[in-house]
Amino acid sequence: MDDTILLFEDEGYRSLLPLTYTRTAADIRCGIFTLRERLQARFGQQPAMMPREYLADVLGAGRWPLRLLSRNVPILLVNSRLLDITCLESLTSAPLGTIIVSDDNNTVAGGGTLVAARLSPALASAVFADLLQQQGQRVLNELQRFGQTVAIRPRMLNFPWDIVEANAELIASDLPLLDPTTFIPAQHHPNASMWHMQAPERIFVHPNAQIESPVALDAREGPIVIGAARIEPFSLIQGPVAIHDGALISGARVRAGTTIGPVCRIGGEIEATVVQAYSNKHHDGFFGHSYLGEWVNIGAMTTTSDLKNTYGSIKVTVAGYGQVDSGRLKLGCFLADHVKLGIGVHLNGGSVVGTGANIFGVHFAPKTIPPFTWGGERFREYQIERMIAVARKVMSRRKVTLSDAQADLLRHTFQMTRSERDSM
Amino acid sequence: MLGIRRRLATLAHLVRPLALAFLGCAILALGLGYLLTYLYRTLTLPPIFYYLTLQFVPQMWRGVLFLFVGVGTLVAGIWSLSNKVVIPINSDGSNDEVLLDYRRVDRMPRVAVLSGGPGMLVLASLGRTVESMTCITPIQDPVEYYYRASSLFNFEKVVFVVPTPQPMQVAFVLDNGQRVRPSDRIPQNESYAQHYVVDVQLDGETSVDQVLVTRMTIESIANADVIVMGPGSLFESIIPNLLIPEIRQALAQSRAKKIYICSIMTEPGLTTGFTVADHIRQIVRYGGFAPDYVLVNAQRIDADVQRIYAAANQTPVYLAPEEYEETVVQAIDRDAGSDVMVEGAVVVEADLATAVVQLTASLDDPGKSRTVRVLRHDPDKVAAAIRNILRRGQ
Repeated sequence: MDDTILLFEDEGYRSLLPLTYTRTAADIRCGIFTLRERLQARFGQQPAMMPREYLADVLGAGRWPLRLLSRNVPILLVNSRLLDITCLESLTSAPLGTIIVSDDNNTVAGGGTLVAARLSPALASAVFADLLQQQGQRVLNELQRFGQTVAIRPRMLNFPWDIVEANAELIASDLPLLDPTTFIPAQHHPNASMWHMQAPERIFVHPNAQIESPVALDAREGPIVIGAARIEPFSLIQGPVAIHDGALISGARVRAGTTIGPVCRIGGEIEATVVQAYSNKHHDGFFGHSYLGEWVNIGAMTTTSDLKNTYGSIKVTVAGYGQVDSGRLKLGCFLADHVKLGIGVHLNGGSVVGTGANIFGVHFAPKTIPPFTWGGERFREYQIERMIAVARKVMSRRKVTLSDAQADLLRHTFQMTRSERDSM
Repeated sequence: MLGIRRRLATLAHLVRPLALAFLGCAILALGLGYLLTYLYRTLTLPPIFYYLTLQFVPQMWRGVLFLFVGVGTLVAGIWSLSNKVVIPINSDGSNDEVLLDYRRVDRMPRVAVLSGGPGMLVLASLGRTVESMTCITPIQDPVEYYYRASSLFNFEKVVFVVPTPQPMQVAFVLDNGQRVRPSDRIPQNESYAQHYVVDVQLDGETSVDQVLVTRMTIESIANADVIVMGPGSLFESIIPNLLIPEIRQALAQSRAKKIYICSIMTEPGLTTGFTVADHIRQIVRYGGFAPDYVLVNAQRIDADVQRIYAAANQTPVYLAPEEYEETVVQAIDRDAGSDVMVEGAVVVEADLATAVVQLTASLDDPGKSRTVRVLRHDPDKVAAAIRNILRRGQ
């Protein structure tokens, strides 16, 4: 496909805050891949990105990306919150000016969300400035004047709990996108005879995966994908599950609907949870129906509840909305990037912990913790330079350097979220 | 209240030095007080000092009076200082600049540009000093060309937008009745060299009234503080967009300053023999308005360069004295003293061009190339001239 794939953000990124303070929705892992990875796997090209201005340096997108419209090829505009990309299959061959609109009333815009469009560079230029400002509604209104609208209802990220809800299904639907030369059926792995496997035909492993017996891999309810990770003895893995390269599963119970991103360390019990990347939940404790961002560290015995004793639906505080009823009986917590939780912290279902928060010495954490909060019994503002110094230390342990652009991004986020900490 | 806060906010960077100076004044006053007390108690002073030191007023009221007068003087001083302010332009301190007795501009201007070809890129360098710049490309041009060229320059705050998503063809009627198109490469064709355009028409099946114009085009014109036409080919880059009624209407309703940057040289086959007034007349004819200002190159052109252009059937577009209308614009500031009114537009003569050596290659014979000295609109000079115009009437 010659089209330039261009990921854009609309107003909906706000209802995914604080998870989207430091990344776009297209970089939130859901299923095996993030949207960006999924598009690359499907179409064989790295999608271009038009993120919020302050994210541009970290994403390498350029703050004023004029080059995006410089080629005389169609632009395939894709909403960063899109999860299910099957709707793009027909769009790639559709006439220029075809617009896919979601008629889902649950969408953030309250009806009618631009999902994707195939545009000529000329028509794309007509909405370029609005795209740079994340003005999705204005973009949609303008494109509808010139194009043909197709109304469908693809799965999208509207609220944080959609990550958890869609994860199991997307692990299964992402399976065909896996590189068959990289992932082999588990039966073909030289050590396969030492593993206890159920439905082995649905288990795919990287040849370099180190899976140490005794281990139980149960794919009866969904596929299991294991990258070049290490699975230590006495681990139980129940599909659908995806475990990425460099991950370490330390005798953990990894239950259905879980994705473990690259270079994560997982112990204890985890269920229906997405762990973005480079995060540690290495010790005992339970996390269910939750999302853990990047560079998160969870202390021993820290646990989240994902079910109320009343079996009532769980409410979550969403930026700009206040308390929103998720309509879900089972829902854990949402931890943004760089969150650190000390030992023995208990989180209620629907808890949201903001970027860079460092929480310790508290038995029950509050349900909503603003970004860059420090403390437990008493909460204070985390001094940003100290937070960055900690991040540098943490990242260097994984041989990753915190770039100047990343440090600036954290500083910018700190400034941007200052009002959220006013009440402390 | 907001106005007071905003004015005082300009002193934000002076709070510490002011506080230090205030402390110094207080200590100085204390020292002076001790000294005066000493003198007063040890020397015998003339009776006039009884009145000068307000001794007929009770001591407590004297203190209150001085406090009031002191506070009042301090407030007056700070208020006066807040209009003569120091602003660090860059927070990194690399290019800090001190502005004294400044003129407050609430925001940088929004600019809409109607131009095309390399002229559009000349103007785009203004992007650093504007809030936003929307360049409306000619209806017949592919927008990718502009994005490709501009991405090489790292422009910021500049977007290029098509007036209509479907490119439209334009046709010119020459003075000999011949009908030609921009794709005929008119300036390069010797057979058209002595002719000029007498009419411009949209060439296609779509009726001009049915043309749907992009919202950004209309909004950028409506919201602009200044609309710049040119630099660029009058008939190929500027006039075609004026053929669309919706754009014409938006321009007519816009309260922005409209500046036309006149070509430096005539274009063979298009504007052969055109004067500044002829250029302005075409804008009036097709746009239905006279630009507020017309920028004309006043730089003397070397005889050598003129000969090169003459060989290519091009002559300089200067302001001829016979084009001056009776009304001479009254000077509103020092710069505007020499402006004249032509065809309802204020013509501003300024140094706008730079001679550059250009390598030209023949499309017919790519191996054959030569260097020529040509005149081009200079981005910095044009930007400075536009900024000068923007300062007028502020």
